[in-house]
Amino acid sequence: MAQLNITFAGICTHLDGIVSGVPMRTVLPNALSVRFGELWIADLANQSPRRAEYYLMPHVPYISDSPIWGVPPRPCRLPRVLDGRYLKIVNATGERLHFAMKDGYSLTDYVFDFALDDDVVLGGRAACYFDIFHGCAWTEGTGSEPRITRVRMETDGTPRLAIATLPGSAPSACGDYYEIEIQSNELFVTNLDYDTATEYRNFDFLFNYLVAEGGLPTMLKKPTPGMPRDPSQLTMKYLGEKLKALGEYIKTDGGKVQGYLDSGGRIGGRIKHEEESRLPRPSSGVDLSMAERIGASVQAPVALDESCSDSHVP
Amino acid sequence: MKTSGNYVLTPQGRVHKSRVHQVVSNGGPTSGPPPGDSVVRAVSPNGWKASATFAADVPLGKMSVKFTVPERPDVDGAIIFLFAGAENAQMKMILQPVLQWGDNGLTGLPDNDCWTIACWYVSPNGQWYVSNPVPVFPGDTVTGTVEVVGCSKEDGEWMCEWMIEASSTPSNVSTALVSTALRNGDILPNGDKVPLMLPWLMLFLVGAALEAYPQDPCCKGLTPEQYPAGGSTTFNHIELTDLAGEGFVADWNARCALDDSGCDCKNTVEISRDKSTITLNY
Repeated sequence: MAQLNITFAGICTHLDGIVSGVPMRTVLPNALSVRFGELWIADLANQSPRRAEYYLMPHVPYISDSPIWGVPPRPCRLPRVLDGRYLKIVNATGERLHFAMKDGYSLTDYVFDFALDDDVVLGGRAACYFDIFHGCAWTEGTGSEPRITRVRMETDGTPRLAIATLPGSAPSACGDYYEIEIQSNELFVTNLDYDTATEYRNFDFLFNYLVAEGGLPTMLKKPTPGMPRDPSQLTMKYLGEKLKALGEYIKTDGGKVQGYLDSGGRIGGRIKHEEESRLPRPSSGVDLSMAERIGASVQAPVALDESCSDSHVP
Repeated sequence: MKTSGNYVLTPQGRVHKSRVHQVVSNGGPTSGPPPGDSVVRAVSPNGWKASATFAADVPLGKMSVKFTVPERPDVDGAIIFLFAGAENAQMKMILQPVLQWGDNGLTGLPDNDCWTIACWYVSPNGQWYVSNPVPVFPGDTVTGTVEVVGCSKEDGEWMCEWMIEASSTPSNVSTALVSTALRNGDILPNGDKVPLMLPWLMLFLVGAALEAYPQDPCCKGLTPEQYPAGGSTTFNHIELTDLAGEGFVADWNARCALDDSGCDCKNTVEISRDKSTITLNY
């Protein structure tokens, strides 16, 4: 008998008893696109409804068996990027999962009408489903603190994580189904994102609404977690700067000197440049999915702040 | 000591001393258990009060900026960083020549609060490298430089070697120019070397930034008197060269932080029409 601890931190939604036969399904939505737009916030401390402009940068779902971040994803092992995968602990035992303490952020609290999108939460149009059948779940964090969700379960021997390909997702070189033994007895499920002291992260919680019918909301009852009460307006110029940064990052294969040279860049001026003596070799990254290529460049897990909290329904 | 326990206030926020590696002859990294990497990171530094940044279309080869050391704050109690710098596309690392006010716990700082210059490299794997701080004085002209000195292929991958330098030309002609630098291969007290041979391009530029914290971590914010007297610092003579050796101009974007209460920004940023001068008002 062994014990497995799972930590969920970042953009994901826990469905408690909603999916038939599954006590808790955690949905990590596909948040690989850059999104920007505007929304209205109805309740701002007796003020009139206020418009807020926002942008959201790609978040890459990620699972690891170690709390050390920065380890590159490994083929058919952990850590790995989750790009259309179904996860399950196959040798979990004990009592059926129950939520012992649920003080997280409910998606129903911030919008007037909420309904789950069946295609996203049932039909496989997501980055990952993690179905949990046994153990105990609870949220950590109260008040205005960020939230994370933890799950503890017993397993029959070393925990074994099954990874299957969701219907319609890219095939895996490891096969459509394989299992990994979790020797550390710990799993961390989070997102990789851009980290900068100047990044405007106040709206990241909106990504949780990718599980909702209609997607990101255009009207909020009240500010979502982490959103300032008076959100400063995003300028299109600043958004352009962010997009350029993303574009250059992609063009140079993760913002690397090697990628710059491969894309035709040159090194000159007063800089010492030791010429390449060997023949160019083809890029090794072409077989990777977009999520893997972005995620492989060791971006950081999301910060532990309110806006990057996970969510639940109901 | 104005630091909080085993943590040092750096230009990238509060950091455990075991992660800060100082290139000095009379001390080194403070030993102690590492804080433990966590998949859930600490909250990012929120100390950037005002800045001008630019996502470059071309990778940086060299950046040079000048500014004048401001008057000391009327009231002590703040740690102030004024700097320019360069980050990789993921913004997971920064190279920065920094002017600092206040004691953040680094070895080699003068006993009394004063201005010092030092060079910082924050690595993507969570290590902070800093050169020996050197005192400078109000009115001195600081030149901050971030520069590629060479590129070569190592272990099958192209990398560029970076150098960070801060120098100060005194306003008093009888005083000598002082400088401090962080170079690839600089020896740390534990025998390790500063790893500034990097595979990443510097694609996110910081033309000017003001970062400020209260020395007392329990204190919520800074009073206007705790900022440098004079109310502003102008970064000028901004020179940029790309990795191909061509000069380019950055179209700086002004950013200023919300204060703790979520009120509107109290600091402002002015950028000259030709983009060669950035003034941070505080």
